[in-house]
Amino acid sequence: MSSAAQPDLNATVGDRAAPAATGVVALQVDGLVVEFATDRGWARVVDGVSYAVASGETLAIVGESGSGKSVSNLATMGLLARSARVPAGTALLEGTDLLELSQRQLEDVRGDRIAMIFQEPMTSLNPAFRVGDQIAEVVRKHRHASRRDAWRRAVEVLDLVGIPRAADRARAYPHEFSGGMRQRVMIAMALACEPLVIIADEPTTALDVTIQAQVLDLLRATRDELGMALLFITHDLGVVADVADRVMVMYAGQAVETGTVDEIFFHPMHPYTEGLLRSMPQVGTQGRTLASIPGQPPAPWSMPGGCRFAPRCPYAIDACRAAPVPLVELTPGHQVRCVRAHELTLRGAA
Amino acid sequence: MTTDAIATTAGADGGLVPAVLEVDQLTVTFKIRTRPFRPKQQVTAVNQATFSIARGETLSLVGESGSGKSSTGRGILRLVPLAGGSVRLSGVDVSQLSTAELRKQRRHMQMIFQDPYSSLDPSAQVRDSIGEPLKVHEHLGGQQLTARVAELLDRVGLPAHYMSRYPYEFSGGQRQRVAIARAIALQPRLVICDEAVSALDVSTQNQVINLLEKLQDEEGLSYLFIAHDLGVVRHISDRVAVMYLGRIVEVGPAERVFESPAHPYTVALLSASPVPNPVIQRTRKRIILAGDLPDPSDPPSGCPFTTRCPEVMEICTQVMPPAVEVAGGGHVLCHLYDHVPPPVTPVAIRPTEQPVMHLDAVSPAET
Repeated sequence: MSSAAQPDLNATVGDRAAPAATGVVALQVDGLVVEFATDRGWARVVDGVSYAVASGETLAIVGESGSGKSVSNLATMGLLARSARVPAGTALLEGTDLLELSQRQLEDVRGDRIAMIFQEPMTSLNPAFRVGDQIAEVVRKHRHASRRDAWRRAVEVLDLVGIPRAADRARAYPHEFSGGMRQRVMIAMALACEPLVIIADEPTTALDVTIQAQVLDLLRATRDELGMALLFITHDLGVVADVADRVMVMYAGQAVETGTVDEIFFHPMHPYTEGLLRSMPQVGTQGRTLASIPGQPPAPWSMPGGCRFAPRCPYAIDACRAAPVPLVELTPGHQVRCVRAHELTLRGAA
Repeated sequence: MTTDAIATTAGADGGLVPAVLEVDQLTVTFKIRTRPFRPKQQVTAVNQATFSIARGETLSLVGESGSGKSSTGRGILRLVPLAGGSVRLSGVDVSQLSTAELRKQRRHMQMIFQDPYSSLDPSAQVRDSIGEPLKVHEHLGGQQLTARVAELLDRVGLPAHYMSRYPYEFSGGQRQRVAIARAIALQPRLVICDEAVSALDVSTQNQVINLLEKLQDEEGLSYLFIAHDLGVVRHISDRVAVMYLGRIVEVGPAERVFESPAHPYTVALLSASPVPNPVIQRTRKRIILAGDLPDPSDPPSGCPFTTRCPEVMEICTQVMPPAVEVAGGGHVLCHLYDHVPPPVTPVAIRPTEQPVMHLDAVSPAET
């Protein structure tokens, strides 16, 4: 306990070298652009986002609503609405560009090599079918297993995710499960074919904290056991601190900072990251005004010409507004999109 | 439950401040059909909740979904019928009032909901949404009404010309400001904030919290703050009440509850709430509770927490624990503290970034 109260930050940062360098890259997204058709023409909601996630690693994508964190992952899974298009970018999974695949080819990949867990499991599960059958269907489709083998696998994964009496509960319908248990069913379904990559989009946001702790533990344990890559999309910095090895911070459709979780929390280099960290209610702020980032994120059709965060940034100077700012690697594994990154000393988590 | 001072509350200076809200043995039940073709069953959503809120004070209700937080708030406003207990607002027992009398009293207590998009009329201009309570209760109209709405918008940080806009034209944070303006229009004594900032992004959330605190300072408002984000609760609360399966299992000053939680459920709840600091998050001891909240229509006998409690004893399944005072303030309903005299010395304040709590703060062996 005493060591926790006074953490030796340098030692910890050194202990956890960028895991991307150690694991095999499972999913690599490069230069992804997503646009939506609006009354004002094509609105660019994801603008040149690149990231890679390695086997056995958790990459958290953080950002406020509208930052493009969910849309970029829906794009790689081929799950965007018809009103959207992906004019540029690649998403390589085992040497295949997911963005080049037809819907039919994608169906073979989804649920098999890459699986997704959403925020609200009740809308992802079919209320009219037993959960065991829904999981078995995935196995039958991808593994061409017999009914009996597929059912056996369904019970096996339900047991793996900690559903008590899995053989009985596989015969239950989604409404017979609580919210936390339903999310376990979704995780079981995602694990059924032992995918290379799991994309979890706010998987615990609708859950109570005690259930959230159970689900985060389960995701961590299964990732370690099966060596999957875990892409975790969330707005909750507490959850990020809990699950992530590396973090990508998104703002207004762009990555503004990427680094190890310790670098992002203790040595943020982008003013937006600092603003997010400072906005977390900290112990000892009672009676004081909470820090907040003034203003609103820009709309996709009225993006500032220079740095997109400049209108809200306390450190902005004329150079920030002059031209778009590139993402630059300042220290190994730590990239930041800020003109003044080299001269600013920003405050991290307390 | 009898140990809580009902008529008065200890103020910040230790003196006694008259309570704005006194809730005594509040019980709310619902009849629901848990299975098709079976008779409806009675579910006790709130079970004998007792607490009070002083003028200018913020009491937070925390707990998991289904614990009865929102039903408590709705019961106080009598938006749901009460099965028992009383609610006194500045001394007036609102639980006994007729509908007409209640309507007059409602101006003193207002509610802000999680989603202003569904609580504001989408086809009404903001001027009408904010002005409606002023028309009904103060019979304002025309120029007078417009002036008051403009003033209210100004107080919540929105320009006066926004009054001719519709809810869809606002961002989530701005909509919540409109809802707040409507709630404070009649200068209420009590505002119940039911997950009022939960749907907002963190920076917007903080702006709204700052606004709520500013209004509290200006008007001496009392808040019943219902929330699940413990970071926000810790920031905003003077006192915190922890609910589990309809029962208030622990209540006390926010500092004491967060630094030295007494009830095993509070300990688990705090330890499950992730801290935005990866080093602390890696090293802190976490208590992962097994299982879910029990079925509220079939609660366990004795203490409601027995099915998940890491400290469960034989007596817990048989007898509902009584309220026991906790050193540092408040009380707890847990058999661990039966017959244990509270320590004489005040509870030591632990390093603040260390939310892992231990029960030793109140065990006599430690002190």
